[in-house]
Amino acid sequence: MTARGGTTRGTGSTREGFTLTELVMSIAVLALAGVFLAQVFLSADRVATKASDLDRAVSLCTTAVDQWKGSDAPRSFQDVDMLADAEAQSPTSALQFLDAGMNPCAQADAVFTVTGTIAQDGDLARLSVTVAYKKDTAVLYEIESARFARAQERG
Amino acid sequence: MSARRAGFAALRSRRGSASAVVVMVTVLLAVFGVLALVSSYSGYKLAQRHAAWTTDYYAVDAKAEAALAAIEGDLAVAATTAGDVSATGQFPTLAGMALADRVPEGQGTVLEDERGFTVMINVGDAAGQLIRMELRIDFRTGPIPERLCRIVSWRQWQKPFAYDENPGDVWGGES
Repeated sequence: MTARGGTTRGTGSTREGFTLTELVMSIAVLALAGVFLAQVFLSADRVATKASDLDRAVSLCTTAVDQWKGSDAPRSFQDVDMLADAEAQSPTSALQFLDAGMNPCAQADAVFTVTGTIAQDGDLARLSVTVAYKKDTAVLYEIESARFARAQERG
Repeated sequence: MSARRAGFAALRSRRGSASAVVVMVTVLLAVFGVLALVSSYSGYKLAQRHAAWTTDYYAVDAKAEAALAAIEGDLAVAATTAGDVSATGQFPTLAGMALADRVPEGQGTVLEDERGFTVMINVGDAAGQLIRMELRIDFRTGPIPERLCRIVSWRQWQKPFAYDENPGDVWGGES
């Protein structure tokens, strides 16, 4: 009835604006593009989260290893803050549950698990720390270290 | 004159402006989306490189600790055989032989003086990380001490690399 920029029959006034067709087409195109763009942004967010998780897992593991290397008790987790509370499981094997912010939490709220294992290999104590996703047990980061620790004290 | 007026009228026409706005918004969002994706991938690649470097560093550090444990073990055997770690007994000879076997040519040096040994060892990996440790074994009288080696220095060394040749291996845009 009304053409844009045209004259409404009978009134003689000029009406400007978008036609209904233009609006419908624009919204349709925007919705279609929005679906793809949302996926792009979601992918970017997912990758950024993975990078952040990896960085935090590396930081957590290196802190644990450095605390263990500086400890007077190389065959226990007593000086490793992250695993000290979990030591009750075994003196040489510890499991801790972590939330999304990589802080210790209850098993039900956990997003990650951190496992520590100590083994004696001659005069060398070996520590392995693994951070994994609790959901599918996929390993996020794993580190191994060793330190000189005499197996038997000389009498 | 009328043609010119018609041209201005065409410029003033708003036909299709909604589509133009939609196209511009879409392009803008697409550009930001791609930028966000590239930035995220670069961050992830850097995080992976950092993780790999850290793993390598602790692996080399463990190798150095193993070398230290082996030397301590050899020296303990020499001390037990000699009965002490004094400069006058058998210990200097036995320890010198053990250290010569333990520190191969090209991976370190063993220096002996009248007060003991100074051992410098390089432990590295193929990625170019290296730990240079300097140990001191002092001759002394009295009972055999629990630890025979004293760590003088424990230094990490990284093979140099040119920034121009290796821009950090960030995501180059290829999937």
